[in-house]
Amino acid sequence: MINISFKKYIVIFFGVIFLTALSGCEGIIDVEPVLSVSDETALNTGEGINSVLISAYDGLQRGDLYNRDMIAFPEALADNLETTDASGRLVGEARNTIGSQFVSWNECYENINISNLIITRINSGPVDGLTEDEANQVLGEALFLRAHNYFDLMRAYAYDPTNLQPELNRGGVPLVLNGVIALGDVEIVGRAPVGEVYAQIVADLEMAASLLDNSNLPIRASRFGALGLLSRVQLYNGNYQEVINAANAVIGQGVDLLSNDEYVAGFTNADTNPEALFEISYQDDEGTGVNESLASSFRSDPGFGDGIPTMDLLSNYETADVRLGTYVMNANGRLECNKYNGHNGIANVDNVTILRLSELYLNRAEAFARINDNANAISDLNVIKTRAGVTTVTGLTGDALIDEILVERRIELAFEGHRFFDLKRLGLTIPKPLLPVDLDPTDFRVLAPIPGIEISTLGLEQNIGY
Amino acid sequence: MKKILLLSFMLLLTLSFNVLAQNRTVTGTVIDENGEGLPGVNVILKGAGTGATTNIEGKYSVNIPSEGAVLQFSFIGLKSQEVEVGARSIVDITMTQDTQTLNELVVTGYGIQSKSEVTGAISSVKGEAIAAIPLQTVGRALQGQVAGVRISSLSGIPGAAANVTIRGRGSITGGSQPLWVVDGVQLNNNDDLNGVAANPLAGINPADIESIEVLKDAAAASIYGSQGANGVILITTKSGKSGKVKVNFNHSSGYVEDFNRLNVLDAGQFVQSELDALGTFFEFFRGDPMEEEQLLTLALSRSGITDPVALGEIGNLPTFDQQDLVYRRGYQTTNNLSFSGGNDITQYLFSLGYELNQGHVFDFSFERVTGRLNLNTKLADNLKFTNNLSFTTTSQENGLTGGLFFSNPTFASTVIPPTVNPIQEDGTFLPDAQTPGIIPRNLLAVPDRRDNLAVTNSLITSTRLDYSPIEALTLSAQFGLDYRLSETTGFNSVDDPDAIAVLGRTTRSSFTNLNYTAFTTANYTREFNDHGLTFLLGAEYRQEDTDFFQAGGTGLPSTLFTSIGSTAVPETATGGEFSLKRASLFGRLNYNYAQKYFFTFSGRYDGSSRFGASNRFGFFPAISGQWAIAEESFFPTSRVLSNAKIRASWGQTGNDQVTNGFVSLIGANLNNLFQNITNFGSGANFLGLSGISPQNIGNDQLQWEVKTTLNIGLDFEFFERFNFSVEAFRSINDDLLLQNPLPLITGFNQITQNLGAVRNSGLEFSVTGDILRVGDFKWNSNFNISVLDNEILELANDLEVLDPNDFTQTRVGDPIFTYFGRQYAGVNAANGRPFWRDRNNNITYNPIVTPGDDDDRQVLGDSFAEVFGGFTNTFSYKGVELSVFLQYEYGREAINTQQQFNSEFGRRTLNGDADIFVERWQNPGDVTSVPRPITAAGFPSTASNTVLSSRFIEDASYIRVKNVSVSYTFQNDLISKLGLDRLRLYGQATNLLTWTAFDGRDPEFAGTQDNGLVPVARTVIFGIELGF
Repeated sequence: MINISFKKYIVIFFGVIFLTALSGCEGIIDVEPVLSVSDETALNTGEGINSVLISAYDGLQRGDLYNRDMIAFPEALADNLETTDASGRLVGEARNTIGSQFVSWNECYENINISNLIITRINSGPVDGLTEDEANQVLGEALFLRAHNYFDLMRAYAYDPTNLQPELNRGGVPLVLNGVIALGDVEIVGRAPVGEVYAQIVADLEMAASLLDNSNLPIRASRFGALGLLSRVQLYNGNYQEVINAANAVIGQGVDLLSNDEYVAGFTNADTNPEALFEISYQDDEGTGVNESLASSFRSDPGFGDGIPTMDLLSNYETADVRLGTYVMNANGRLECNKYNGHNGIANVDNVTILRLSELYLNRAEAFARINDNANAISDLNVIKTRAGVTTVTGLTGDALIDEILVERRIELAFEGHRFFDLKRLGLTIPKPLLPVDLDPTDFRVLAPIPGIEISTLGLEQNIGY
Repeated sequence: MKKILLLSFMLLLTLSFNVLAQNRTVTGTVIDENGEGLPGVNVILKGAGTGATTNIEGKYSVNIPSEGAVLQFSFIGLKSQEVEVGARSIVDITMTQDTQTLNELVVTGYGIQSKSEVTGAISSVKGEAIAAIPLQTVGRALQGQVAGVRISSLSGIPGAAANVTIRGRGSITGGSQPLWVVDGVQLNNNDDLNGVAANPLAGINPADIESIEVLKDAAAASIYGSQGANGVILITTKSGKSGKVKVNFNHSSGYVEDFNRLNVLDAGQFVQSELDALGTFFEFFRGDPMEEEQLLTLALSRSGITDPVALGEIGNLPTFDQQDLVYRRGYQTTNNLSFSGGNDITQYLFSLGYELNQGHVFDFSFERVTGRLNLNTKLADNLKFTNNLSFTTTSQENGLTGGLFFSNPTFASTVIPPTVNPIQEDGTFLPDAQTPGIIPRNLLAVPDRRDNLAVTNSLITSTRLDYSPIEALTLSAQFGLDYRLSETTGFNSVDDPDAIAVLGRTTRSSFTNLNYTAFTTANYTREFNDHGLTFLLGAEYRQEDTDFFQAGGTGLPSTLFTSIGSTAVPETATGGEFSLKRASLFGRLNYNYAQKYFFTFSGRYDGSSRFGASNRFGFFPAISGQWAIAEESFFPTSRVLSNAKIRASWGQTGNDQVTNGFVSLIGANLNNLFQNITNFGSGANFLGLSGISPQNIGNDQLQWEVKTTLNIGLDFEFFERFNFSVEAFRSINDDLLLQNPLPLITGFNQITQNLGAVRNSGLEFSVTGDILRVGDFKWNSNFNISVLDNEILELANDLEVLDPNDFTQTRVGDPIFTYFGRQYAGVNAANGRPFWRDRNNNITYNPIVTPGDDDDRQVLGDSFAEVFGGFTNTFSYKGVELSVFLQYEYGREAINTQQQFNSEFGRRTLNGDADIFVERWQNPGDVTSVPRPITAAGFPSTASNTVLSSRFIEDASYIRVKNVSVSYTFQNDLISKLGLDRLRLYGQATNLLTWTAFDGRDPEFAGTQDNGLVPVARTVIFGIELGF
């Protein structure tokens, strides 16, 4: 037993514990996060800004963007892809059911915000740890990515400058050019006119092309990437001379077309496609699984092989066409697209080429044809045909020439996310060989519905029909 | 505020009190009804508060004044007595069992109170009531025992956590689980890990529990401040009693099995379903019906049957129900051994427990070893030391849960076609690729290929000193520790199709939580004349440090290798750490006048690191009162109504579980743990470089959710043997943390703000008592029922619906988790196509399901159980006892997702439900609600045959015979010859019978849908209990 004279020490003991518990209440419960940094650190250091930029690229790898939808949907929504019902995916898109459309709105704007944060910061003055050249490089990449995302938004949610559908047009998309980091930064803006958004995209790409070099071609934004995308944007924009100018600045300037022999390997090798101008690279561990990846969407082994080429698409290839080598036969005797066949043998992951040199020939050919420079148009077209090993054309003019270029575009760029957008931008009927009726260009299902939250919080005008 | 509290405490500390003059001694012996000496009885001199405790033989000695001394004798469970000493110098008394439960002691936050003085809503459950139920953890065993407490299984995996909601869910996005406190140690309540690690209660052996108190209203829970809003459950473990050493051994074993398997299609029906679907497709979609022959070939091929079978013969195809491959009869055993005893100075209890449950699904098991040492000793007459220490190690094998498809055997077994034998003629397993349907997996091979073992070691300890410098004042200091280390190993072998491309995969993760609570309290009790006063003041600091990492590798040499050390290529490496800190001051004042009028004021000033810099501290007050009407002189002395009291309380509590529910520990969301600041978190990797991106828009105003509760209670006792309690309450949870939607063009979709309000109100009714007492026969009944109502009052910025595109919605005016979707209208008798109701109640093939004026969706029900409770009847005659415990729920709807999959019939080559299949539309004119089967192409409509609609919303009300036990306790004279104090044989069964309208496997589950659910098991055990 303890002697009772310890009493006063015990009282002191309790008192000390109690007082300790009380002292400095305010300070003792401060905790700092370990796995994240504040906006001040992230945006005011070179290291931070470079890391933020990386996340803007990463944003393009989302399933609703280039991991699947932006490549698979333009095939399914049009006449290039039919479904096998293997997992039930892509069925709605292939049948153009209401609401089976792009859902890229929030991801594009997330990416745009990240670009905006970088652009706003670089434009406001020097950043610790970034030289002027480095700052220009970062700015160029951010501008390129912003333009890229706005262009994708416009293709999915708005009519195009060459197909404005005045009766149906509700405008472009809201143009947000300043980064949001706090509640006070939020701007309430409506849909900008189509032309205004295109003007911004063109300006961003021109600026990016002037700031960037080709050192990161094609895995990050580059001068060729910016000019290549500009040639496509101007095609949608109907500025055909600008298409030619942009393409001219790339074609023959150092990147070569794949040869006939190398053509198939360009897609199936583990590295980037040698003629790529912009490509989303995936690391081995960045696969998105059997449900979401392009590899699984198009190939049944391994994967689901939900979307296979329609007979209608395949009927356009000549037997000698080297491009038929990008298809392989599946267990049911049907061809499957093999452009995304796995990465070093790892299932469900492959690089996704967004822009490659062949497209620039076709962009330029179409632009030449539009301004009735038939000789140059045929010349560009025949470059692609010759490389593919198919019969070249001569003497075509007018609509016949344009039609020939569009067919070539369809088969050259099949399963690369162009077909639906090309038909849409030209206001053409979207053929649906497997459905009872084709999709009229005035059908509201041509545009994607804008998320409901934008209608309620911004008062945006919803696309017609939704 | 702080200063005032501090000053008053120092004042108390330094005050001294005059002690009454004492001038003679009285001695005596206290015995029980059997004539044996009772140790540990408190003998108090009335009015002075001084006294003594009886020793091991029941003897005591007390100094008393020469005249007018009255001694009060009290002991838990025995009737207290007051004796006038008069001129005697020896006072011997006999104490008898207390039949009036109202005088029991109940554990309250940071104290103990006589039940008669309780002013708030506290329910108590004795340890015996739950110790015997073979359900691994306390949470599940408490189901149906307490009015107002709804408990549902999260999963039937042995050792899994239960979902516990006290008086309705009040938070939309935050946690809704109560605070669990074991012997004063607040357990961490991270609910974001899988399996046993997520269950803080898995580390507590139910056999060690003395009592459980549930603090339901603000009067009871406000002393826990910002952690009190979801209620508080206090667990008190057993402690030793002075007297001879008591040894208790309890063994039980028995079996565990599934019940209510799905009646899936037989092989013939399956082929028929494919045939129907293909036939419909070609007729309807392609417009050219195919030849029967061709259809059959296709259907057989989709069913995985390679040999030709004639149409008339498909009924004779052999059936292989995949459920038989997955379920098994498991084994359960529980063994507990305890020693307890002690003397006047030191008492101890030592216990060991071992439990093994080999579950009803292959590969599932739960194993636990627990050890406990509870010790208390008097270091001096007025200085008591208590140490409770428990160590537990559990290992849970639950490798196969998780995803909905491949990896979940209970789900996969219901949808893999029954047409192909998983074992080939040569005895080997059928290769995966030959398993028909969209799940190309041979379930028999799964256990060898996959493994997921979680080993959790937990240590809960509390060390406490109680010091009474003067009789009326007790100073206490306690340090409590709750330490948990969970290690999980996941493994996919080289031949597992999910890992075949990478040649096998092994991951290991480790999760450590160090959670400690230190508090000191000063408790002052004083009675003068008719006034009784108790004053409690305390300070507390709590810190939780969490640390985890996960690493994985791929490339195992062969099926013989499973360890991460054998992998060739590192694949994942992730980890993180974070802390939570809380600092608080709390106090409580209890006052009573003449044991008739009781008042309590309590409050806590609480700070938490979880909140924004501008709102870090809050004050949570409560006030309550009780009127003991029976003590009034006007109260008629009647045998009918023998006791009555009225209670009322008002108060506020907080909910600080604001990260629970939307933060997953394993994953990128960890970046987002601190909603009070803008975080740039990692995870956005590209080209092998780590990118950082803003995860949220920070809100420095962020604070706890506030719950304001009003409670009124009535307690009656009839015939001195029926206790009847009614509680009515109404609580409003305000400042709910909601993700206020932002326009997506901002780059964010939401900001976390304190918006929103939810109301819960209800009535709880419980009655307990002996219905019959005839000779040795006794029938005791215990019934409780709760009627609850839940309504969302307000969401962000006048928003009516938080999640307008979802099926399960958060809607103003409806309960949390309200279903909103297509109203099914049955099948067009002419062509077999399903249709739905539009907004004008007309029939349509193309219901519109997007928010707007032409939205065809309707409210279809909700997952809120409006009525629930339990009913226990115990019959005893001499040593024989039969107890039947029913548990029930009413008014909850659930989504039968399982049935949605099992109604596809040819859509995606999934097995179906035979009872539904026979109801399908087959010929024009058939009136049924089951559409004509069709392949995935579907009919030309915006919705597929099995689209989620009211068709799959079912009433999940049920009554379940949760537990039946039969026991025989041998009579004393018989067993004493064997040297035993106690010998009891018993048998027990859980989940024997269920009555429900729910068509799935089990209506009892915590979420809104039953897909992939591991159903709860039926357990039957037999046991023996020995005491000597």
